[in-house]
This record gives sequence, C-alpha cells and structure tokens, in this order.
Amino acid sequence: MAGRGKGRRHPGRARLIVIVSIVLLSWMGVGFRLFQLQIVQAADLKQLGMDQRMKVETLAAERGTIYDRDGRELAITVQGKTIGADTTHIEDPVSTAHLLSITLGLDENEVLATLQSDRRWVTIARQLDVDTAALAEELAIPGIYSYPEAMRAYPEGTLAAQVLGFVDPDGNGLEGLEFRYNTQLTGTPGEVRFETDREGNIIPQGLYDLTPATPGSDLVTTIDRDIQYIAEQECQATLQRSDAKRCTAVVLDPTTGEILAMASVPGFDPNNRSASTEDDWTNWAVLGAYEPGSTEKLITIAAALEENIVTAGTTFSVPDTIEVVKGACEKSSTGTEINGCYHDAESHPTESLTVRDIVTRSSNVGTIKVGEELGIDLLSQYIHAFGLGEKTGADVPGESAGNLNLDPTCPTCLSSASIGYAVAVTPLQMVAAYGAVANDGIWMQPHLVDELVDGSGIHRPVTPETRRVISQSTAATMRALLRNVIESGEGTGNGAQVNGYTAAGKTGTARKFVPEEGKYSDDYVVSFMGMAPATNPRIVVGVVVDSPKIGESGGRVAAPAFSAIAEDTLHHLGVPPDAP
Amino acid sequence: MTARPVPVQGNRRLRVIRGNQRLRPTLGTWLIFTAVAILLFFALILSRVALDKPALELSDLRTQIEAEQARYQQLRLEVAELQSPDRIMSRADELGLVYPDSLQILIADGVGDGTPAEGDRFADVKSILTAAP
Repeated sequence: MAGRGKGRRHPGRARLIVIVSIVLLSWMGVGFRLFQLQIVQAADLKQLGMDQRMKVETLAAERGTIYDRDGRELAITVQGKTIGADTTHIEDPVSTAHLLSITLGLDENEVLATLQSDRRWVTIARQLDVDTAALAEELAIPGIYSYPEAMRAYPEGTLAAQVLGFVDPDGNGLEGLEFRYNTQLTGTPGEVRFETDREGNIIPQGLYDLTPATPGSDLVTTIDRDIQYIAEQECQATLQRSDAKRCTAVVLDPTTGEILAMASVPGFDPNNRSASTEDDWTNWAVLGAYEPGSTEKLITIAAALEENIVTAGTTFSVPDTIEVVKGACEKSSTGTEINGCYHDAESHPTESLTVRDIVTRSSNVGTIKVGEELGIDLLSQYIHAFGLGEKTGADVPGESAGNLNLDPTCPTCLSSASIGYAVAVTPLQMVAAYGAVANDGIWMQPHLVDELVDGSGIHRPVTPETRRVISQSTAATMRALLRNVIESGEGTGNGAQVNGYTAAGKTGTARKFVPEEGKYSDDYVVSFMGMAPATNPRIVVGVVVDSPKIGESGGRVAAPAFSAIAEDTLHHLGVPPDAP
Repeated sequence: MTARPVPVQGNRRLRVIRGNQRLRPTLGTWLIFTAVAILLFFALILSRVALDKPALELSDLRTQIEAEQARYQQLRLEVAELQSPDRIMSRADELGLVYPDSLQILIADGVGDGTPAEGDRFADVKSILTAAP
C-alpha cells in the first residue's frame, strides 16, 4: 500500500497549491497596493482629496468708517450688489441690453457690447445700491445674475468730499483721507476653508476653518459736520455773489490746531464722481498755493513788534508810492509790484501813519517801510517761524509747502515779501499763522485726524507740534490791531463784522500770478483771515476766493463770507456773544 | 512516566437528528433580528441627523448674520443720510421755514461754554455708536 501511494501524483493538491498561490499573490498585490496608498502615498493622497473637497473663500475686511468729531458717519462701507451676466445663457442680447440700460441707467450700446463680448462671464455694473440692483433682479432675465459686493458710501454727498477723498471699486483709497490712511482703513482680509460635496454644498460635519477678517481702523476726524456745511454753503453763496472761479474756507480751533472745517467749492459727490474733474477733487486748502497779499502783513508787523523795532504807535511818513528799484516807477505804467515800484491801493498825499493806521488801512507802502526796518533776515526768520514755506504736516496727502523767494541779494524780495508777494502760501498755512496770533503766540500744527480706533484701542496718529512764535503781549497787540481793521471806519475789513461778537482779521487782495506767462494777470485772489471772538478767540476762519469778477477785493468778497461763517460757527459752538 | 493520549470515549460530538429536530432559526428569531436591524438603522440615521442638525443650524445662522449685518449697514447709511444737514435744509425749505430776522441769545450761568467735556469725547461713546448686531 505504501509503494502504491508513494508513486502516485495528487492533481487536486497541485491545483490547490496553484489556487492558494494565486489568491495569496492577489492578496499580496492588494496588500502592496494598500501599503502604497495607505502608508507611502497617504499624506499626498489625503492632501489631494482635501484639495478636491476644500473650498477657500477670502473674507474681505470691512473698511473702517470715517467719522466727524461727534461720531457722525462721513464714509462707511455697506453691502452693494454687482450685476453680471453669463453670456452663453443670454437669449436675446439686444432686448436684454435695452431692459438693463433702462433699469440701471446705463448706456445701452455699452451694455450690448459687453453682452456680445467673447468672454463668458461679464460684469454689467459694479457696486449698485441694493434697491437699484433689486430692480434688475426683478426682471429675472435668464443669464443675468447678481452677487453682493462691499461698496463705499458717503452719506453726506458732497460734504467734505475733498477732505475724505474716495476709493476705487476694489476699495483702495485714491484721494484725501481715504488715500492717506488707506493702510489703516483697509484692515486684514480673513479666510474661510470648508469641505464641499460634488455639487459644492458645504458638508455639515466637514472641516470648517474660519480665520475672521480684521476690520480696518475707524478714523475720527476733527471735522465738525455742521461747521463744514456752514463753510461750504457760505463758499457757495460767495461764488454766486462774486462770480468767482473757486472759494476755499478753513475753520480752525487755534488752541488745539484741530481743523473744524475745510471747504473747497466747487466740489464733487464721491458717490458719483463721473461728472466731476480733477480740479473738483483737489483740496485747494492744502494744495492751492497763492500769493496772499495783505493778509501776510500780519507777519511783517508782528515780527517788527516782537523785535521791538516798532510799537503800535510808531509813526512813519507814508506816501502812496514807493520806489525800491531806481526808475521802476517811471517804467511801470501798470503799477505791477514786481518791478520795484509799489503803490497803495488808493492814491493819497504823503501822510504820517502809525503802525496801527498802516494795518488798519492796509498800506503797502507803510508796511514796506516797516519791513525795511526789520530787514530780510528777520522777516525771513519770522515767515518760517509762522510756518510759511514748509508743509504744516497736516495729515493730508500731497500737501504743498508753498514757495518763498527771500533771496537777500534780490532787490525787491524784502518789499514784496513784506506785503505778501514773492511768497506763495496755502490757505491752511495762513490760517495756522493767524492761529498763532489767536493762541497767544503759540503756533499749533493743524490736523484733520483726531483718532484711529481699532480693536486694540485708540491711537492718536498726530501729536500736534507746537512752538512759540511771538510773545503773548505781541499776540495781544496784533489782535488789537487786527480788530481795528474790522471795527474802524477806515478799516478794509468792515464787511467782516460778526453780529454779537468781536472779531479781528485782515483782508488780502493780490493779483494772480500766471507762472506760464511769468507775469501777473488781471485776475485777483482775494482773501480774509480772521478770528473771533477777538477777546478770546475760539475759532480762526480763512476764506480765499479765486478770480472774483464782482467785487475784486478781500474786503468786499471774502470778508462777508468770514462774517457769516464765524457767526454761524460761534452759535453752533455755543460761544456766548462778547460784543458790547 | 510517559504521556499518552486521552482515550476518546466514542464520538460525542456527532449525533443523529431526525425530522423536525434539525436546528434552524425560528420565525421569532428572524423577526427579532429584523427588528433590531431596523432599529439600529434608524438609530444610525437619527444619530447622523442629530449630529448634522447643529451644523446646518450654524450654517443658517451664519447666513442670517450676514444678512443682518448687511441690513445694519444699510440702515446706518440711511440714518446718516437722513441726518445730513443738506437734506434737513431742503426739507426745512419745503416746509416754509426761514431764518429769523433777529436772534436773541440767552446765556444761562453755570451750563458751560459749549466746549465738550472730556467724558463726551468720541472715543468714550464710540463703542455704543458702532455696536454691530
């Protein structure tokens, strides 16, 4: 039995071995593959799967709000809607363009061109207000869709538009405070990552990783909305009265340097600036350098008083013409001041005038005589001390430093600079200079932003620079002299009287220099710089009017505007009347 | 002493089954098994729903928050526009209001000079003014 069994083959056993081997090999293959997938490539495959399921959305940071000094919104971010189209689903582009153009107030041809473009996804109108967008949504046109998009809104419209500036559709500041503080206002975008199914729906138990956006800082300005409105309204009225090209007004708190109002008219509406020009966007109070004329006599007289060269009662023999360059008056038939021949505004015989009279009557010749006593070096020193020729440092982009021509070797520079020629200043520089007189001789750096407020607290971006320019007594004397300009019957600033309040100030009338032609034109820049109440100044107001056609003098055009702005502002601030 | 195998006392594991004595699951067993399976199935679904419900509610709440924030922003804008001096002046003109010919100013002693007190600064009230929903 053993021999029979030993030589016999077992085909069933062989098949079993083959089958087992195949199964084993198969399992080994599966195991090897599993090892590859689960161990070797696990991390990569896991990531690949996550990438397919994960959706990442950027959360836009809400741009900070810009407030006025009392917390009233001047610029805020709201949710708007953008209307777009899937051009492949538009059945009738012509009628669609017609309907959308009527509903949204767009150009029909432009809409049609957009709908007929080669691109599949096109934008019809960005950042519409919700109500307008709803009209388009109600049309229910196939292929037209809408989605929310943050938009900047300026609830006050044209109010303080040049101060605030504006942003582009992507929320980047382009002008004004929006540009200057763009980084702080913008904030940091956030991100949300979540798992979605094949249809793009969020998987409830899936990964949801939220990194919230950090909103931009809020900006609290020093602007008082109501005073800003007063200044703009009065500027508008001044333009109508004088048929002028432009009016700029600045209202300053002299004790703090806070700018309460900064108006430039004509302005623009930052919500819809399509009809405006770059000139309308310009903040002329800080960018519009002009020759100040007689308002700059404040510095000449204050410097002479401070240096004890004159007193208010010092007398000068003042003719109506002075020749600084020999023969200049013979050559000058037009009376232009740059040739070395200077005139008073009105002809008069040679008179004995005190410094008080010179200021009151705004005598060019008298002031030049005071300037000659002072000398170019001292005058230059005080002009710089009062902040002319350099940026004030107010937190406004692109501020002009102005221009000074105080070359000691120049024969006419001293005379010209004494009466406000040969220097180019901005309205803000002049207002700040008058602020120093109002603030007992201490110059305060003007500024527009009071605070930046973010989640971590409050920051004050500006610590105003201060410096003493003249003594307290000189400042008091200057205020008295300037008060006389308004209250004296001979003064050029009678039109600046403020009902119920004492006021002090100075008129300015300067011919407009045309740099391209290198000569003075027939147009004028007229101005009034003043403070009220004169007994204890709470505000300094500067009004500069460019190219008035009616009036053509600071006393007739700018002084009444000063009066109106000062009166309404003092009422608004609750300042008790001080006039006897 | 050597080990030896324990003698097998017959083949106890094998026995003859006749007719109805064959072991098979009864109907009751099947019913219980089915019921348990169904219960387990529903328990599984319920637990899944219970787990998903808060997530869905959270998603709804997020959507609701976004909608309310948008509404809040819109209302803020409307309030600011309604408070605009320009609008108020226009409205006053429409209503026939005019400036007075003369002003009489009364000064009440002891009520300050109009300067905001330190506690009235914007920073102190900002959190109230800008409270988001």
